[in-house]
Amino acid sequence: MITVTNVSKTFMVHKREPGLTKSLKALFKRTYTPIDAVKNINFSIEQGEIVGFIGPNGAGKTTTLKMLSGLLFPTNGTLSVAGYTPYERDHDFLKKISLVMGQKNQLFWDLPAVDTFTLQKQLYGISDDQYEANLDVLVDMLDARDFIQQQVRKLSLGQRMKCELIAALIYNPSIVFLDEPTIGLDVVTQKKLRSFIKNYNKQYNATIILTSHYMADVQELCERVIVINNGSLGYDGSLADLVHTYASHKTITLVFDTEVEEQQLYKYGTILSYSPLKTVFSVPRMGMKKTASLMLSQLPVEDIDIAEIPIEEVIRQVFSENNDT
Amino acid sequence: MQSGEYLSFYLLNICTTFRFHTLYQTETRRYLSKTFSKSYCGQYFLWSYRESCGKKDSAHTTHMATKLRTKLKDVSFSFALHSKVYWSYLKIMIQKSMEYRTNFFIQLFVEIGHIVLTIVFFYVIFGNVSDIAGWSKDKMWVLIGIFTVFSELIVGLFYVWNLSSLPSKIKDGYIDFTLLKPANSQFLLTASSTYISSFVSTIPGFIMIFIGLTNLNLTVTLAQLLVSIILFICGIIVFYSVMTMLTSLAFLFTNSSASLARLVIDLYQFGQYPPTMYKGLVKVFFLIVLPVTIAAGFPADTLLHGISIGNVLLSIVVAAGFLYASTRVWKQMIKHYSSASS
Repeated sequence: MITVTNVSKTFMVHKREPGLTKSLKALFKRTYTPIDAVKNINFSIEQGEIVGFIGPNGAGKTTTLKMLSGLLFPTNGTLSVAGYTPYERDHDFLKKISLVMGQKNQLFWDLPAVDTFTLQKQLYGISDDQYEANLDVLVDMLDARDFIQQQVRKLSLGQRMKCELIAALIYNPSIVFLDEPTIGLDVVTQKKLRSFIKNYNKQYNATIILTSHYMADVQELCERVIVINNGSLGYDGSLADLVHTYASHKTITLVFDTEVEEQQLYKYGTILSYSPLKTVFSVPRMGMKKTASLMLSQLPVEDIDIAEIPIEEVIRQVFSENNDT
Repeated sequence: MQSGEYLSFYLLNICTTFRFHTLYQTETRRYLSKTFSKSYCGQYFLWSYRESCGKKDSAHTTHMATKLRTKLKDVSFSFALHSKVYWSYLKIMIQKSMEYRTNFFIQLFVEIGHIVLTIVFFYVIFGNVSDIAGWSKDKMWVLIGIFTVFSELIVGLFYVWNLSSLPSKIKDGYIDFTLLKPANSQFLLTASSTYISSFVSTIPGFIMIFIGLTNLNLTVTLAQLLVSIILFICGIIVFYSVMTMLTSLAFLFTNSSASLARLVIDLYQFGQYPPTMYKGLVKVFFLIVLPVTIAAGFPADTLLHGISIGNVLLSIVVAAGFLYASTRVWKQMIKHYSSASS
């Protein structure tokens, strides 16, 4: 479905120091430095897969998505999506794909979202019946019936994102690129969107590529992840393996009512930091539940916080490992 | 035939064949050669064309004809699609302009004020000047009327919500979504969003044309009216193309060329004077390089002095040329689009 072979993307960025005099200088003399946003990446994705693209800010996720959707021309290498070369932007190709960006919206700000949907209908040449049917399904899946008639500017961020998704999916694209679709949303809405994405994938056997900062997004949706950092691929494989190797532990932070001695705590797990009233543990993911309940029953716990190792940490581990070998 | 005729015929043939090869699609070539084939001259053309292609079989001919038919089908389909899309955009723009009520009424007030002021302004001017370059006051009313309609339409159809914001849209990466639509990107970004109020502002133009024609006591034939409308549309196409070409430089030099489209708007002010005013090189410049006289001058000339086949042909050729050039330039420029990060 999607094949990416030896793809690189280099941007030329002009360097400038701050200040007015430097600005004036830069007006006449400019130095451009090449920035490698994506360096020689290779992967292929089958139809119906949900693949998570993870990596810190500026890792090259969005650049890769933009090359896959045909917005950017790769500096080197070849891309093939659904048998087309994306940057040629063939109309038949564009009808098959969709790009959703959490930070940008395509809905008309002053008008009800439904007006954008009808425009999409015309642009993508869908029949009235097809449009009604698709809209019905999407609106039900997203629980959006109440607010698609409201002006977009009056919608909450979560509602707006739902409308964005409807606008992007109304023509049943078979390949969907989601660039941080859950950014800035509250936990409940994030969860709803995730289950929607999963359902859409199942119902239409659509290929979905998703980038996110939130580990939860990736964990719930993607069986396969591609970790990207500084423009190169660090890991491509099942999420289970990634978690097993790199995020096998969680951190538990305990706050105590009364002071506890360090010796008492050794049996629960590796202590990351100790003070008589607050201790941070690193606990294996396996048997985490049991450990936590033991802690709660045996120690004078006032507060407990169980946290995932941050995604940045996982990625750091992935890359430090790669550099070592 | 005499040898001189032969020679010119031969030269013409070489030129045409060469141009066919470089400029036109194979289908068009085939189509043209078919039309020519009816005459003796056409037979000769066809023969030499086939010679030059090295293909004489009829299978090739049928193949080309089918290709031409599918091409025509594609074109008409694409035209239907884009008119539907344009209609949807138009409805959206009307809704948008009415979304904020007070704003809508203020806009209406501004437009009415604009109408009154424009007419008063020209009344004052004509109180002092009797004729410009041989065009009397009443003829000038017609010319300036047409020019007013022209400039309002250019501004409304292409400038306000299309070209003027294109550079900033490019800079901020907001055209990402538009480029991913399965429709012509040039149409979507330069012509889709219409500024409705401009239609209202064309009214003073029509009033001025009316004043001029009644004062002159002229009867305009239907043919004159139709031809002047065609010329008018050609003028619009030419200006649209020039503005598009200049603005599309924004893909190359991010954030610089909104002012370039403004420059064109300023330049077409030359169009509100009689075509007879320009002489020599300036005349050629304003006819072909930057054809401002096509804008209002030719249509006015047609209404007032009758149809000139030369002007019609020139307008159509220039308009087609400019439009074609604009699509080529657009396609080249859009390759430089680098999007904005996330």
